[in-house]
Amino acid sequence: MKPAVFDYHAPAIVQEAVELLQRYGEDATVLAGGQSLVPLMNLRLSRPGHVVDLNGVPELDYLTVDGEGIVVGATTRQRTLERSDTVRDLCPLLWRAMPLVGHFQVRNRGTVGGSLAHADPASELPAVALVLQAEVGVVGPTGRRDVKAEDFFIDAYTTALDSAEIVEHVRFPSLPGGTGTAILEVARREGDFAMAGVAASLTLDPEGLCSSARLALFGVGPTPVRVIKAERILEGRAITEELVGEAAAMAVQDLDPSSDVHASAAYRKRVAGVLVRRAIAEALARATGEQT
Amino acid sequence: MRPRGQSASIGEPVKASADLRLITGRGVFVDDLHLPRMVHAAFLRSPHPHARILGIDAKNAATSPGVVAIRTGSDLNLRSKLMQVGETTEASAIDIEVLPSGKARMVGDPLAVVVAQDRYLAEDAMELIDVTYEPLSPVLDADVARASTDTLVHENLGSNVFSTAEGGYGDWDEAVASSDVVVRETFRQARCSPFPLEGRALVADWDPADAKLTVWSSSQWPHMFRQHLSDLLNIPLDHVRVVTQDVGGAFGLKANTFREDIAIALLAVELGRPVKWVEDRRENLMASAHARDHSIDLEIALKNDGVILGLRARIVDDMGAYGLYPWSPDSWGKLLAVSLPLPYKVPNYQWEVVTVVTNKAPESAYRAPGNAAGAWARESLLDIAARQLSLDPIDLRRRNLIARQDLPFSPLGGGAPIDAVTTEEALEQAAALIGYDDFRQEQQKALAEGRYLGVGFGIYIKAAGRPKSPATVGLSETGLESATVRMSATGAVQAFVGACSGGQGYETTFAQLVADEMGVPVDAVQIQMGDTDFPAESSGTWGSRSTVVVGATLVGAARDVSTQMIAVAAKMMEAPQEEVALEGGFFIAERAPSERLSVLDVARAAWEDSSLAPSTLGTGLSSTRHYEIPGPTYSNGCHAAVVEVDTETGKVSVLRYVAVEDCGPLINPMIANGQIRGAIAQAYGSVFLEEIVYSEDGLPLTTTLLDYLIPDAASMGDVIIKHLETPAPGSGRFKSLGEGPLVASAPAFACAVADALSPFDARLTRLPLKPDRLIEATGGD
Repeated sequence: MKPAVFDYHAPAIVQEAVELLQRYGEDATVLAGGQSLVPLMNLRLSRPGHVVDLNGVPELDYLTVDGEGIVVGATTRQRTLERSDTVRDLCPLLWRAMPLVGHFQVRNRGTVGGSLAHADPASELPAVALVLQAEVGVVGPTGRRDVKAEDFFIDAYTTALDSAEIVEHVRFPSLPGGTGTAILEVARREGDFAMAGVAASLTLDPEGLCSSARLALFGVGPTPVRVIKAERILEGRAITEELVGEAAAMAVQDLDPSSDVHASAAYRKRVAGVLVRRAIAEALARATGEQT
Repeated sequence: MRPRGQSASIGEPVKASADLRLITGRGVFVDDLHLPRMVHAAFLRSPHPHARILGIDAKNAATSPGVVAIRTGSDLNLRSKLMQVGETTEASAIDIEVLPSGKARMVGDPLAVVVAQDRYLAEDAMELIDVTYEPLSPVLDADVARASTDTLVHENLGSNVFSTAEGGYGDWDEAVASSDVVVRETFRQARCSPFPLEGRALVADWDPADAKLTVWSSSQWPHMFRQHLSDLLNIPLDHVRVVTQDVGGAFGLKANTFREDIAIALLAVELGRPVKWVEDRRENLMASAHARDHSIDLEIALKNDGVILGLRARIVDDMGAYGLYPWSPDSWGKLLAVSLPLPYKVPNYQWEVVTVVTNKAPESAYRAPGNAAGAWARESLLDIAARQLSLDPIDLRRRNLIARQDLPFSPLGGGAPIDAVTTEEALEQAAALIGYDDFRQEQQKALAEGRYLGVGFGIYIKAAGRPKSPATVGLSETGLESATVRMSATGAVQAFVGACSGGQGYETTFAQLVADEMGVPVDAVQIQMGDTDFPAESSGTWGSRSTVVVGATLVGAARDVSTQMIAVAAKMMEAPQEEVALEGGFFIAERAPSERLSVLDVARAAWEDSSLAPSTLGTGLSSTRHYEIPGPTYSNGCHAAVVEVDTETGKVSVLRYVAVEDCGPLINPMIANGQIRGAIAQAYGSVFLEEIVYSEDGLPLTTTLLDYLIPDAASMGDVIIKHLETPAPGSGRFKSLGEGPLVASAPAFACAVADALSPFDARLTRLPLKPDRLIEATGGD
């Protein structure tokens, strides 16, 4: 479990990193927190000829508030978000997701941009990005562009990033008043990858009807999935137990998860439905103020 | 200082002396050893579960940067004796080559070894070795393997059945005829890993000037390892030295001598350079050894009142592709069979163990081998029987336990009489502490709210420290132990022991024993262990033996040195020996109490003035003793768990956990409780998490910690621990604790889950109890 030979590059600015990626193309990979890449390299499952380490690029490590939410630099550690009152107040779903990402030792190293760019199907941050309709700020040889979260995750471990592009920041919009959120998952142990998980947000209008519902499942397919058909069942209506059951059934109807050593496909599908039901109930309780 | 013999530290939570060193990163494990001129080895391993090896071409690899040597079986096998295992009346031997040359029999079989300037370069070169395989169909399931005549793992065996062994006592058929009910179930224990945090590791160094081989190893039995190296490599015993430094856990895995060990030692001799090999986690999970791949078909015959009349066990043990030197591969299945009836009075018992060869990694002992797997099956079956008979599961156990009035109890299957156990007290206290009387009400109330609670119990009696007997000299020898205690000229006490610590805290507990016996402070005692050149001999740290065996031996030697010091002090004070006493750290003569001599005064004088010699045979303050306790000790315990199962997700929460243990007088409650908590964690792992999985093609799917889940700190909740401290009969007093708690814990967890899911009539006969299996057992998908 020793990596194959590679050249190590430590750029100091984003532009330099992009240039290195452009120069080495497919033979280069980006190192951020290293929580996924380094084990893969040690197993020689990943054999980049060049590793471009972003940890020495200070301009990527920040957390700021702008008018519509928060902006997180790509190499900001997950632990920073977990400890941030700003994140808790402005982006509670993001804040709630953090303790589910590995263990604190992992979050001390793991980065927000790295988690999105790695695009593990079972990881929490991509699903949160979908629910919050985050925008991923990307920089590459031809300049900068923003990619909507819904367009970012293409397949398992595959994103809309071009080989010479890196994630520069992520913009997480705040949700309007009257919104409640929840993120639930089932994992073999605390901190393990989810066998199934769901991130949810519900917004109620002054009459108590659901004006907006967003549900994203993770760990049950190659990418996190927004289940829009289930959201539509909730939107415009008063949320009842029956309606929640209907939405949960709809959410898992088209799922085709796979089996592995941790759980069968049937289990994943079934438990995803349970989690959707529980997450809607929890988000609703927060939207109405019954639960904090 | 204290008066001699007064227990001032025994029973106290003396802080473990190794703690500061270990938690500040100053531990010294094998990988921390860096010798001049040292080179590093990596093993090329078969990617096929079963394949003929047609050729190995290492030409390209040989010129890879930093390569020192590349060797295959054809280079090494003739330079070592065959590691033959398992020749018994029931079986023919399996021959194990250092590196298989004819065919690979498991994924991970080591086919070549590369030695290079560092491990990175060794792994780079390894990728350039070209092996031509002819893949053969593998056998992976024990039942399929048994029936197979065309796919043989070892052709010389003539079949894939290594051995079929039978035993028991009484008359099972008679028991069935007299019974009211026979309950039967087949339990499938998961193949799992002993999983020490530090895997297998060694540095071997050959000194051509002295013709001496020194091996630094993470072994748990350095003296046995020395013997094996000497035997297999044909080097005289006095020219082999094995050293263990800090050992990062062992759990049975390191009571084996592996092919890789022999290969590394051979390379060190050949190259004349120190060779290091530290297995990585992938090798550890794929190719070291697994454990407990047992199928246990269990039948119990009972009267309607719950009295057990008989037990029948038919065990199929999947031993994998090889045995592990020097054990017979059917040892663990047989141990399971023999240990099954304990701690109950089972008047008739019949067992059969079929040990089957498959294309998987070999089977190792793993903490409480046989006992732990058997207890889960037995206690689960008792609960099933109790439900069927509408009896309280605790009542059923009360009716059958080996109880106080049965002591000493002669096991019907043979063996030393069981005495000084407190099974009833342990059960009653565990029931009280877990709140059993009110639990059924609590359970009903929860059920009304749609919550599923359950309680489970696990009970054990475990023997440790069998004496030496001519019939068992060699492998099953647990009586071989000698220790030397000496008082140095500085006043420090050095105690040399042959057992070695893999995290058991012996540096502290053994020091407490010596300190109290000699009347010196604990920190004046230095425990020296883990070096076969020390004046101590041992069969190693396994089978819960060390505290029982080393403890008794050390105490005897310490007492001798005290007596020698009294003799020296008496000469110095010109007083009769019987009038000299050690009080408050000073030797005082009855006649002149003001003329005191300190321990240091006496120690120094004894070393510097030959006329003060305590004996005509020598001048030093030193004694070597052997383990001479006549029989094994028996520990016992009872664990109880209350769990809640989320029947929608299969998630299990442990709400309460109680461990009642009787390991005799506690030497150090902090260390004892650490042993208990560690055992509970391992039991939790085996019940809920751990499973080595092979694909249908024979590829191991659990070769990283992402796939093979071990219990972590976050998995563990609070544990209430209660100690009964019944001394063992005889002079030894101390009983064992290393394995027993594991035996009781797995059934407590598993039976609690089964109890919680009893409204579904859930059959929980396969470990681990993964969430998907629980949902399936409740009638979900």
